[in-house]
Amino acid sequence: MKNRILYGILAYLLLSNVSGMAQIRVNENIQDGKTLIMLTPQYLQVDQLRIEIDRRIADRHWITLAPHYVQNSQQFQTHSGFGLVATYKFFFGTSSYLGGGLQFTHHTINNYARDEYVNLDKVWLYKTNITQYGVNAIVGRYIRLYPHLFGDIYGGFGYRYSQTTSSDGVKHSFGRGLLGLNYTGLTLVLGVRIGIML
Amino acid sequence: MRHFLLGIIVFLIGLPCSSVHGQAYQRVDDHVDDFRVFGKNTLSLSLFPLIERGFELNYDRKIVNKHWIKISPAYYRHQNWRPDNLMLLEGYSFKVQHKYFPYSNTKSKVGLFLSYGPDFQHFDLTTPRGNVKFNKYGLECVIGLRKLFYDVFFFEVYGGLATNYLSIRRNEGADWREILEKHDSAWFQYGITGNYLVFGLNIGIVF
Repeated sequence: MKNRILYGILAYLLLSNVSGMAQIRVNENIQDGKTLIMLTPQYLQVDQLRIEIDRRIADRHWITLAPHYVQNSQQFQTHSGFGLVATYKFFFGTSSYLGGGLQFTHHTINNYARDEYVNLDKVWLYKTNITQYGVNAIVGRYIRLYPHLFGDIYGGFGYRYSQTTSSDGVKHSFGRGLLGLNYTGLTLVLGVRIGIML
Repeated sequence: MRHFLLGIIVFLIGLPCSSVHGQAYQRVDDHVDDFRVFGKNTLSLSLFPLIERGFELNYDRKIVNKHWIKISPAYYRHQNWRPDNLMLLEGYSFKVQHKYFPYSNTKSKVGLFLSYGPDFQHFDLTTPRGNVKFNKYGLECVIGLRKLFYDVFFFEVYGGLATNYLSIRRNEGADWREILEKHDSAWFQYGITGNYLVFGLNIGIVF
């Protein structure tokens, strides 16, 4: 009889606690939401505007879509581009995840020179089209900064394959190393994002 | 009788435990998702455009529960008599944004928002090197916090990403890039184009 009472006490306390915890859990972690809008300011370093949409497709399974757009106009060069990165994420904890993604980016770069004799007229030199394909494997973690405000830190590696065509037939290089626009090879993937849970 | 008393004791011990959690939840529930705290209309002044002699007003109007619309007209007039930067600038801009508050807390009177929308800017800049008239068409997406104080006043801080496309309407004298070069280095300057970071600080009233 004593055991029954003890079990009763434990069950009662446990149930009351569990129900309380379940109620408090609202917006405590990423799994409580369904959609996030994330901003990635670091890509502005390469003139890229990227706003990412995270969407929960099932419990612990998320998809991130990152459309991006490049625009840069300098005196002797104009650069425009667009692309998309799609990443699937599996959460092995409430906030930590493993992700795998595919990416596609296309850039168009026009190079000019100034004609010194005509002073202001620009002379068109060559146009370059760069198409880059990539795969990424990342591990990351969401951090709750404030209710509905989340940060995300991730890192991993990827592979990039670039195709470059220039109107003058010469293969020009745009940027050096891993951040080069027409880089081909293994690359590091590192990032920080900040965003809001809708 | 002993069991009955024991049952009563267990019930009395358990009751506060469950009610404490219940109350905690109740408190959270009371303070979260109550969007009446910011009234229906707000009027604010943007502080950062003042650096470039821009006077930007923001009128925010609540449409439904968490959704607001923001309209921001601005007027710019900047005259500089310094010999190294002699210039006269006049311009105006207009911004329309949808503002969404996924979270607001009535206890701390803080709201978190996502705001995005298009903007249009027109400037006429005259310097000794020439004159340039230009338009800018842009988009902005920001995340911010609104904090109410004394139930009437509030301030907003926000940051995000923006892009704009520059269209030159008229260029007399030197190349427009040379005329604009002193005014396109920082994100709050009117000559900036391309993709860039944007920050803001607004102060205003709720009515």
